[in-house]
Amino acid sequence: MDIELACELPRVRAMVGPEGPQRPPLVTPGEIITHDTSFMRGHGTYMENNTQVASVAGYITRVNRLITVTPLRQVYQGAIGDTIVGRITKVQNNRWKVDVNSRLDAELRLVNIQLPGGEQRRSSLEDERGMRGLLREGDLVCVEVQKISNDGGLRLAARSSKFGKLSQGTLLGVSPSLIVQDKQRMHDLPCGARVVFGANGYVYVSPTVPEEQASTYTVNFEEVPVDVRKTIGRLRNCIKLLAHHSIMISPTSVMTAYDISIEQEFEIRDMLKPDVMQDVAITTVQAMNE
Amino acid sequence: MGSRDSRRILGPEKSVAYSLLQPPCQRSFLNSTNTRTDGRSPADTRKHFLSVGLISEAKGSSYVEAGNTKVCCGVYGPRDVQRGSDFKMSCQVVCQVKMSPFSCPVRLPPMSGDRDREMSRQLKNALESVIILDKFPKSEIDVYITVVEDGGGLLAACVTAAGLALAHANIDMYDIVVGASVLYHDKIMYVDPSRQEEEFEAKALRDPNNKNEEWGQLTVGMMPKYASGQVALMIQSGQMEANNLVEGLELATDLCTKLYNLVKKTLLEHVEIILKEEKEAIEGADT
Amino acid sequence: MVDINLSDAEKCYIIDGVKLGIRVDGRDRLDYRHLEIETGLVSTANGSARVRLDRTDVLITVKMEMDRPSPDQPNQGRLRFFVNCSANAAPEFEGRGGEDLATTLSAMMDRLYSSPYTLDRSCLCVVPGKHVKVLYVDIEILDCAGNLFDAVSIGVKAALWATHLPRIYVTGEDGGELEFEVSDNPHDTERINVSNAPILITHLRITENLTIVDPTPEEEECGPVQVVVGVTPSGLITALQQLGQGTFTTQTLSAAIKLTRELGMKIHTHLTAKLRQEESMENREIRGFL
Repeated sequence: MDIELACELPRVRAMVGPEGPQRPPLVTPGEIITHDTSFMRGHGTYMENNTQVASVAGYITRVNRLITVTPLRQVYQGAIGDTIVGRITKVQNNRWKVDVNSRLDAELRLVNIQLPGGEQRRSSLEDERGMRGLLREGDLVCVEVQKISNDGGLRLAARSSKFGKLSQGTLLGVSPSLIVQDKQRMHDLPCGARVVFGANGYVYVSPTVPEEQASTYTVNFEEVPVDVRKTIGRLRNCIKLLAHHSIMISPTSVMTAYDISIEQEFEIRDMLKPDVMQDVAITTVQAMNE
Repeated sequence: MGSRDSRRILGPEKSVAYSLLQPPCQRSFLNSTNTRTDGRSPADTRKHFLSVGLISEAKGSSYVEAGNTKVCCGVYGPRDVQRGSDFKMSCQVVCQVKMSPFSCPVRLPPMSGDRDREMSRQLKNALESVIILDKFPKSEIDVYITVVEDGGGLLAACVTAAGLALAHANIDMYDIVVGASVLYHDKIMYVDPSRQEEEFEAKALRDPNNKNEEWGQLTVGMMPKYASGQVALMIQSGQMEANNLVEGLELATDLCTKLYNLVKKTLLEHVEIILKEEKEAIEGADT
Repeated sequence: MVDINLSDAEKCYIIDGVKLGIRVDGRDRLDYRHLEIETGLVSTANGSARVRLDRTDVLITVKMEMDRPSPDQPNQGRLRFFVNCSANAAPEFEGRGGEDLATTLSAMMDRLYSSPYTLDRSCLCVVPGKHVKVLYVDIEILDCAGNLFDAVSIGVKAALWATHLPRIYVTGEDGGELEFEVSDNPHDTERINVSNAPILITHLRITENLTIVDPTPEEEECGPVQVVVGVTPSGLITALQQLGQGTFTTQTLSAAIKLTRELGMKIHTHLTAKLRQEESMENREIRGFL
């Protein structure tokens, strides 16, 4: 067991960020952005006495005549078409309530999932009664955002075969702002694991799944072998350390960190130590900047 | 210090039990003939007396007497959840152990103290593993234990009483839980300690230089027949070597097995009596 | 503890991992996560310590007061434990939610230190029969991420180690009442002898007869029953208690007890060495919460 004194540990520093003139201006709530009324107000601002004032703490982005203040860490807002990972919290009459790391629980309706049996059909009364058989409280699902309702709640859908219930693996929660925008969210990494980078910050690491088995509603309880577990454990620790040091999480950054940790022969459990974490983080940033 | 209880007439606030003013007498653990104070050998348990059906209002009830320890238990339920609004798919167990003010030589205040609450919590934990909770969704089972006299081995007696009462109340369980306790003193395991022995251990003046002196008490609540013996409750105090503790655990489990037979016998006798009474009632109605 | 709902697939992954000897984050069954200690954070207390075990964060303070001794132990001081689960640690600790956990924890600490060998209470006596020192140990749970008992017990030992009690001199007698003088000199202090203070080790039973040490919140969800074992620096077992809904076989319990002895002695030597190291550091920078 290793016990460290707090004064001996390295301080956590954010590793990346543009320096100097490239750095976007940062504002805090209440700071006046501009007196010019010709700008359109975006998210994160409000109008008062003909001045535009920031309402969140973040950096200003200006696109033509639109000014927005984007906060650094925000609860997931949702965008149509995003692939996300969620956990079922409630089973209701013909829908499930899903926790997606957002303001409100999202909704997944029975009509919006691909029912077992393959062919498209209308969901019957029997299906409604058997909802718990498909997805229960606590289950993890990979879904797509179909619509955003006016109160900000998301409507989800799992209409194609790549979405659906997630099988054995481990879930990590990071801030959604650290996830890189990507059309492809599910990646089969070369090291032998499958990672789903949910746009909402939930990242799911699991063993590679053969094509035919993807997205049935039955879980494969077969024992995962030790070498796959090692890969998954190492990936998990890599993602955790990237998030801890505020490095953007993408398949490239994760694979870089993974390769570095193997190269430097760190044991998987050693990657939980702060000095090792910082080591790998610094090396990853350097490798990515090249 | 509790708040002033206006329902009861309390003694004057500065009153102190007279026993505390007596000069402390150096008692020894064993008496002059080097046996235990009540004449038992270290491996002897006290005589246990068990009966069911003590409390007519309760669904199930039991009375356990071991030496001077007298404990009675009443079980109510399964019934609708009394407190709280959200339902759970499994049963909730409410457990309350109450020590009567006269149960110990020094009078206890009527409000429940730390010891009561801790025993209640420990017992609740144990019973949650014994009762098949999934059979009673949205309900609760109340287990109330009143300690009439604390003569040593109290928690063990409470466990046995609860197990017996639950069986009497016909509540689905994995197995009947019984409790036993052992005391470790001067390198010997004493089975089923009495109050004098327990108090001696708790209050003994220890030689501060001999830090590795071993002493301790172990209480075990166990289901002897389910899945070849499962321990539902285990609490140890004092300090012991790991090997001695393991030995004590094995001794306590043996005790539980023996007590289990007595519990079974009590329940079966009770059923026989009921059947006999019913038969006589039917015969009496016929004539 | 904190309520997390896991899917059956995740539970299966965790349980199989323990069976194969490799946990989700790559640890062994007997590996602890990274532990960080700092003492002397709170200047208003006689002694304080903060322990961070991965994300579990506890703050312990020790304050001394004078009081009358209890009638049956006229020459002994007292040690009282109070636990507060801050609502910051988990949303369900809000209001009275954390009370159950708090009472279990304080009862456990009381039992752990109930033996007269753990802490010599006779040196807390000022005037036999009349005045003794009472040490109030306040435990604040700032963040709960699994394995609370271990972190708290280590923190209490560190806080007691770092406690400086001002010396109290009896200056005279005035009409039957004694007069005291509390030394103003910050260096004229007494230390508490914690060479025999015990710590707790939690063994969580995951499946059949396998137990793990230092569980994460996800692992705690999979294996509801645990046994908390106290161990002194010389390897003696104190204060054992089984917690949670579930049962053990005698073999599992015996194995856990024997394991605790070895593990406990290692942790004690390591902890004492680190605390000594911290004390010998001159001009130590107190990190605190920064």
